[in-house]
Amino acid sequence: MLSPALELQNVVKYFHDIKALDDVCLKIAPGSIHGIIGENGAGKSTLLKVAYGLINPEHGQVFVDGVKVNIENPQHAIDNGIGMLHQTTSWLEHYSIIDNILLGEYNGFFMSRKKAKARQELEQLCREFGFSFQLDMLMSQLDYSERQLVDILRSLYRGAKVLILDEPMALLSPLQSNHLLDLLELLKMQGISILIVAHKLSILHHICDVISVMAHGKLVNNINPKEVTLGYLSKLMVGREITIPHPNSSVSGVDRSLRLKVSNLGIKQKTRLGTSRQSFSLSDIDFQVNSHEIVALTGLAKAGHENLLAVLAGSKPFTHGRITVNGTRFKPSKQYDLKQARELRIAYVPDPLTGEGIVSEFPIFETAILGHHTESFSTKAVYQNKHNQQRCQELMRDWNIRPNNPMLSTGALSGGNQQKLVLAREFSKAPQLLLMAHPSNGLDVGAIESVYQRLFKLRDSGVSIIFCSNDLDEIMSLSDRVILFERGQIIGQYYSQQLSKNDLSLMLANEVVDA
Amino acid sequence: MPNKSLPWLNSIVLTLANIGLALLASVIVLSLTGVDIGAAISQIYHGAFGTQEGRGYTLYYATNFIFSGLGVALAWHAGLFNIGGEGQATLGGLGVAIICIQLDGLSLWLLIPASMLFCALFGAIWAFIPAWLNAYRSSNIVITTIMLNLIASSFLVYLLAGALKAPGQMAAVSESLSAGSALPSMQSIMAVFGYNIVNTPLNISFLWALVCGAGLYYYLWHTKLGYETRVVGHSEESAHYAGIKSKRIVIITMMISGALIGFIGLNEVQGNSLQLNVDFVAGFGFAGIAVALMGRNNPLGIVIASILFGALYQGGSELAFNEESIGNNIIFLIQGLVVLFCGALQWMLRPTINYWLRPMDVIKKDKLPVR
Repeated sequence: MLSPALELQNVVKYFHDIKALDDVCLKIAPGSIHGIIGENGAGKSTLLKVAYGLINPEHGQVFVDGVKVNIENPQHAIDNGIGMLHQTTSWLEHYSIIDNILLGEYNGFFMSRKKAKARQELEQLCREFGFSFQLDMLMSQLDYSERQLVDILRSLYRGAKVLILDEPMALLSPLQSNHLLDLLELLKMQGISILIVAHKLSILHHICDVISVMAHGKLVNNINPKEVTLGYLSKLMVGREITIPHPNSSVSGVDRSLRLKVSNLGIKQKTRLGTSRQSFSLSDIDFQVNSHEIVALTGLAKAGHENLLAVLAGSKPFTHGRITVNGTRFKPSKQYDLKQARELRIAYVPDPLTGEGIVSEFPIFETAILGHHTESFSTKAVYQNKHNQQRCQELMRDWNIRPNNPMLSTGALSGGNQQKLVLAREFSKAPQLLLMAHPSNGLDVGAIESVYQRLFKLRDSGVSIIFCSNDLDEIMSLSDRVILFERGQIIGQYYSQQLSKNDLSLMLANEVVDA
Repeated sequence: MPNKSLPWLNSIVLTLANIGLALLASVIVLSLTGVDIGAAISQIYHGAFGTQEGRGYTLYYATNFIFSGLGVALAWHAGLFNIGGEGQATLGGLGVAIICIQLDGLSLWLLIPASMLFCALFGAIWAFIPAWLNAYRSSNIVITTIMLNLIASSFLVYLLAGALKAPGQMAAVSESLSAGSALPSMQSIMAVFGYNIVNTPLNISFLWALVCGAGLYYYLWHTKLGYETRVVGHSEESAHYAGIKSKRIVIITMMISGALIGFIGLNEVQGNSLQLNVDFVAGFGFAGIAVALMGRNNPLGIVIASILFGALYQGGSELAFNEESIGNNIIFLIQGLVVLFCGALQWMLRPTINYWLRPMDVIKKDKLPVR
């Protein structure tokens, strides 16, 4: 039998006094796709970081092709043929793709000869795997999905035999996501092993050869997905079967009142010198949202729906049109900002990837009042640590945020738990209008289900909810209404119950459907 | 059992180790000058703490260090590097001198609040300039504050050579403040309680510095503005999300920082020399950076670091006075080494310390034979 492409043995890692990884052993067969699932904070990301040398464990060994290697930093990992994709890679925006890929690879004084050779190799790889971009394009011309492909190309160029991916599909549209999965299959056929962490069980179930289940820092199970159902997988993870899409029935027989009216809203972009043409990043946005309603905003990358959400939250200014919240009308001016929006009881859950919603260096109880900190200081302008800590602890228990210790620094929480903290904070403020960008990003299926239940409950009590998402399952499960965006404009509004997942994906792919 | 308190323990051990390294390096340099190390250390210690007079001077210098350390630390919490302490202290002293000369003869009960107010105001205004430039014109606060130091010192020379020059004096000094406008010395304060101590420059500003330290702690961790300051210092994006007006916070923080550092002028001019001269700040504004680093930007840490610095300052001058081969520069040497080890090389020892202080069951595991 072939020795594993990558093997981790007895890995132990502590964060302060918390055991993040507890004696984990993992074997990845050559040329296989190996998935890892587990609840938020189970230690999945930590394990990946250990394999790539971003985190040094207190104990444990790494073997590549059966040979023990020492991986203390990413350079060691790369030298041993391990590559990793990051959610937030920083690129040199104004340099070409090839320069970005070769960054750190140049050695010697004369680089042009080496570059010519590298270009040949890269072009060969592009042909082989069907990458559509030109190597001389500037990084700033690429969208998120294309950057991800550049990242994969870079790993391949560096000779990666094992590719590690942490939530690669989180921000992709369904189409891009399918493209990525096809590519992973292709890589697998070329003998490259893939280690992938994702919360979308259906995708993992579909593509993986082996799925490992992690819980509380331990690797508890290795399963062959071909032998089990999707429902069984989710049961393994959260202890009960979860149906996707989740059943949703909109409320009937209630008095709906107009909560939000957006008319003719637009954002004119600052024109650069020398261009006379005006450009709008949002234009002619007209829609209404009532109470007792959940509305999804969706579109392809940069379609403008994310911008609109930020505008509604007061985080970005608008230049044209009107926003009317509960009868109060706002013109484009500095008056409508986040503070004003919060006074109108609009809660805002920003995109978790931006990190806006938390301060990672703060203790959790201080992050738990961010944005609402004014209320947390009594009239004496003194803010009561004890009281805030107690409230935070209750909130964390209610939302199952672990480890349940408000004094820990926020950054010590896993990504999913940080997102839960932000959701918990915003939900607890009894909003009338709730705005969320990619609300379930990084959450495990169990947490997603409980968030959905809470959202339905809020909706039924009269709250209006608007969220942005690229995840069709999420849109179908959660929304009563879908608004589609393209190039900064609304191109359609549909009632979700009259729509199938298929219709939606076709519409996103720009094909005409009768809905 | 050290498990629970590990991060907290680590940071204290790390700070102590850094300070230890800085002092060790100072000792090595001292020994290179051919001084008997044991004697030198005992002279510094004796000079700083051995006599009542020495203790008085130590705390008098510590007062300046506390003010400048607190100011630097506050700005640091908002993510700002205020190295304009020299200028802000100069202006603070100027404010004190002007108000004391103008209001000469006023009752001390009224004069002290007035001079404190002006001292704070002058320091704050000097800090407002770089703060505004930073907030509204995106200029780099490190560059503007350091430039304003030079402007402040030239401005002081200009005034002392002209408008404020004492009549009939050759030196560039202001006219003397009347003895009645001096801050109460620690000797007179202790006398009220029936204690008799030697007179030193130590005065009531020391107590004010301690009050400022407690106040800063309360401000940063128990008030809304302090909370907002720390959010701005950690993440511009989070501050925007929280609806915090960062520009306003930058200006408020820098002005309070400038006011705190300005109080050096209070201690120096109204507390001791009763006269404005060209170089009364004497590097105390810059030393605040070292103090804040050593005290880890925590008010209590700053008070402790300040007393240590005060002791080095006092003991060091005693040593320089007694030993021919050592000049007053020894103090700056030690300061520089503290900045080097507590600032620039702050995290150098962290992996080592984390290794020695790792949790118990990891240690046990390490000792197990490899399976």
